[in-house]
Amino acid sequence: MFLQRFWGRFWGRLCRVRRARRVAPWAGAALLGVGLTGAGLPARAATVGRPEGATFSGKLIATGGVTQVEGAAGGGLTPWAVIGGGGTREEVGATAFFTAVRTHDYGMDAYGALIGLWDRVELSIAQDRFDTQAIGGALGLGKGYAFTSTVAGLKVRMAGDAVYDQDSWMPQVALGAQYKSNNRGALVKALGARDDQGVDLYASATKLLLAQSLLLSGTLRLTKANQTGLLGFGGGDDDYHAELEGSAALLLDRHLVAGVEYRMKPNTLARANPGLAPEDDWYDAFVAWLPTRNLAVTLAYVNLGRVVTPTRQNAVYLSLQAGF
Amino acid sequence: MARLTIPTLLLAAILAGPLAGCAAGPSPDLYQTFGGQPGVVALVDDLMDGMMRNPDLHPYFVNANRRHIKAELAAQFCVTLGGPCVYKGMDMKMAHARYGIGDHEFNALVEELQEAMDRRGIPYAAQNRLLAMLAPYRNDMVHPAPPPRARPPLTIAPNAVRVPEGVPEGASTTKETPPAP
Repeated sequence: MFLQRFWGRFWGRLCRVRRARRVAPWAGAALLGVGLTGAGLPARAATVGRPEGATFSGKLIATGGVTQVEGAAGGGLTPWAVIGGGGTREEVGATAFFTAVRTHDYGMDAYGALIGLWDRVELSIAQDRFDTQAIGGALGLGKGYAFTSTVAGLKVRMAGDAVYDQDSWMPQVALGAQYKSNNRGALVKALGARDDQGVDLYASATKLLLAQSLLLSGTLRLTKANQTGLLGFGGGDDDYHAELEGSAALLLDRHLVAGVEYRMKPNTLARANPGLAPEDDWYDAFVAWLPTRNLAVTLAYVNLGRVVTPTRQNAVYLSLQAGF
Repeated sequence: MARLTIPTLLLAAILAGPLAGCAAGPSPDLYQTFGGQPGVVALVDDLMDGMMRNPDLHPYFVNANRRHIKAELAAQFCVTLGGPCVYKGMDMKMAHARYGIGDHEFNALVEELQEAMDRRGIPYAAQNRLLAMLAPYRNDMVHPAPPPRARPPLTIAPNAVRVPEGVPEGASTTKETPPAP
């Protein structure tokens, strides 16, 4: 009996001591927590994680590309497999662009916008306005006669990451489609085209060779479009033609990219209408300057080859892009 | 065929420079470009200062042992660059598994590293050679889905503990019973 009581007291005292010891650090932590919260630091100090609200523009600068003439993210003439805008896999991004192309005889303006969803899907809309200027008058269409092509695009990243898969040769691969509609249906059909609207299908592979500061991209496009759809679709035949497009660009600096592009084109309209000059492949050399993650300015020399008339068209290309 | 010449030449000119100039992978000359051990230590100091100033990254480092992290980073960069070091630190996957790191935060870190390398005057091409070797770590560090909890919640089936009859409610939690002598 006595022994039990003694034990009870002894044990109770020991427990109190233990408890007191155990309490001290907890009290300290609570005080520290109060102190940290008071100092304006995040209250949820227990675990660190992503912010719960939406974030934007997490992509590395320039890795969303610029915008090509049909509104897809890429170079100037050809789409790349990258998804446009500044959104990473957990973000949504968007850009808008305006491009002016001026040759000796023609002018073309393009503008549009795209949204990139979770670095997976890209939806784009663009309008290309092809101004025939004095040539329109010479052809009897009227000076300044213009063709407008409206393009709705969809691109889906299928595999790979162009920037981060540096330990393999796997490029980023995307599949895309562009629905194009021309506003001068009667005229392009009179010129020999089969249709005033059409769909291009393409597959792109883009790879950044970071150790070499080199970006390579290739696109295989199935198309019926004449001059990207500005002169309708089909002509000598109404078949899809497989055309190759490619880009090679050198990263000169975090804000400066220079490169070349090549875009093959089908030549079906001239086969239907011998009065028109054959359609040539396009190529360009460009410099893109990205002063911030929200802005891009691209200046290029573009060779459009022959467009309707036998004169080769050398063009100056200037494009502005803004987005997040 | 003739119209292919100009772009082909341009392409060749663009490809020739970087492919001939530098090889990928670690090499002692790359390590020297970064200034050897003092250069790497100074770079890591700059990097940590930049990360602490970055609101996206500050929360991940404010309560961390930054001196230790800097030492590990310096060792890792040294090994990656081709220097005479050994990285004995934690596996990258283990070290980051309990933090919710997204692409946004990872890219913020890459940009802070680029800023720090710019500040140290490291040429852009050399910067990219280091970044190319570090890039594959993204898959170890980023968890697009919410990260697993540090400790899984303790789950006990409701019928796992049987309270004997006659024990008053709450007795088992409040009273400390001394062991029998």
